[in-house]
Amino acid sequence: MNSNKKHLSKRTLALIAVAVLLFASGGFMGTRSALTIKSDNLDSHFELDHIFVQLLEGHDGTYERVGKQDEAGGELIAYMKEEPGDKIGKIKPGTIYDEHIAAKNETGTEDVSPVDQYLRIIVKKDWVDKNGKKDNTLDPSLIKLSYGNSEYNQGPWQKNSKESTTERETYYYTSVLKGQEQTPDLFDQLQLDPEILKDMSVTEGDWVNGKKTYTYTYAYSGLRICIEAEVQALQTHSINRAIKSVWGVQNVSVSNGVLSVQ
Amino acid sequence: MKKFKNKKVLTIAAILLVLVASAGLAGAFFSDYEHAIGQATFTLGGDTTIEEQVQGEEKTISIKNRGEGDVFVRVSVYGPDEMKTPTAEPGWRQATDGFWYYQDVLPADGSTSTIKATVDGIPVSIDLSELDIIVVHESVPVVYNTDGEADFAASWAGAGIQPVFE
Repeated sequence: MNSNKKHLSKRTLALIAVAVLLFASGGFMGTRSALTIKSDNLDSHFELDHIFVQLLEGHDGTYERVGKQDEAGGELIAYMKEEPGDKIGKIKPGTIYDEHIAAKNETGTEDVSPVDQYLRIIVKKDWVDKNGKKDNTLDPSLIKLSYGNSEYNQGPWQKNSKESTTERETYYYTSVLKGQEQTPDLFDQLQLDPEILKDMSVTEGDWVNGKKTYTYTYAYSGLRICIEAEVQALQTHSINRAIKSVWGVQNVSVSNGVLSVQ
Repeated sequence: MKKFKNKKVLTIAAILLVLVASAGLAGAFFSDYEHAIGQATFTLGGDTTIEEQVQGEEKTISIKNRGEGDVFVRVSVYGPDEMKTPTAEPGWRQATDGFWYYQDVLPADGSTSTIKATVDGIPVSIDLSELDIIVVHESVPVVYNTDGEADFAASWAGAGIQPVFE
C-alpha cells in the first residue's frame, strides 16, 4: 500500500496533473469565450444564444410579422376570411391577390445588438380536404405564388432546384441581412390558376318528373389550398460550415459575402 | 508494465476529453426560424333548378341556385309553333345561339328574374295540358378576372361556349 501511494505521488500524479491542466486549459478557453460574451463591453451579446429573424407578410401596403415558432405556426392569408369568426378564408379562382412574403433581421434593437444573418425561405403548397387531410393526387403548381410575371424575385433571391419540388420550394437570400434590415419581397402575388375548372366530369341523369339533369363535378371544388412558409436564419460566422451542418445542403456556399446556389 | 498502461490510458483519456470539449464548442452555430400557415377554400359550380309556374297559356320561368358556388346560367325555351317569342325581365339577354343568358352572377341561394313564354291562337280542339313548353337550362362556375371581378365571357369559355349578342 505504501509503495503504491509513493508511486502515485510522483509519476502518476504528475501525469494526472498534466492531464488535468490540459483539460483545465480547454475548459478555461470555453469559459473565457463565455466570459467574453458576458463582459461589460459586450454585455448585450449575452442574448446571442439566439439570433432573431421574422417572417413577414405584406398585403395592401402593410407588412406584418406572421411567423411563430410554436408547432401550429403563425397565420398566412388571414385577409381572405370574409367574417370575423371564419376559421379559413375564401379564394376566387383567377383573382390575383396582393401577397408579399419577406423576412426581417430582428437583431439591432435596444435590447439586442445587431448580428448579421444569411437566410432562406421554404414554401410549401398543398391541396387538403375539409378535414385538413392532404390530397397528393392534385396539382400544387396550380397554387401560384409569384413575383409579377416571374416565378419569384430573381434579383436578391435564388431558388435551389435540388431542394425543390412542385409542392416544396427553397429560396436563398443571396446577401447578408444586417440588423433591422428587411429583405425585398420573395413573392408579391398569389393566384389560384383558373385551369382548375378544366378538371371536370359530367354525369347524365335519368328523366324524373319530365326533367333530366346533367351534373358537372369539378375535381378541385370544395377543397382547400394550404400555404406554408418558413424563414430560417444563420449566423454569418463560419457560414459555409453552418450551411452544411445546420441546413444540410451541399450546393449552397458563400464567397466574398455573396451566397450562391450551384 | 500494468502501471505504465494505466498512465497511458489516463493520458489518452485526458486528451480525448479535451478534444471532445473543444469539438463541442466549435460545433455550435446560431440559428433561428419562424413559420406560418394559411388555408382558403372555394366552391366551383352550383346546384341550379328551374322554378316554373303555369297559368293558362303562360309559363313563367326562373332559375334558383341551391348550391354553394356562384354561377352564370342560360335558358332556352322550346314550344309549339303557336308559342310567341319569350319575353324576359331585365337581367336576361338573348344571344344568337337562341339561349337567354342571365347577365349577373347567380349567387348561392339566389334566383334569377323571370322569362315568360306564352302560346296564342291555339285551336279550341287542342287540349292545352298536352302542349309542351320545354325549358333547358345550363350553369357554369364563375371565373374571376385578375381584379377579382366575375368574368362572364371567361366563365362560359371554360365550358366551350362563346355567346354572341347582337
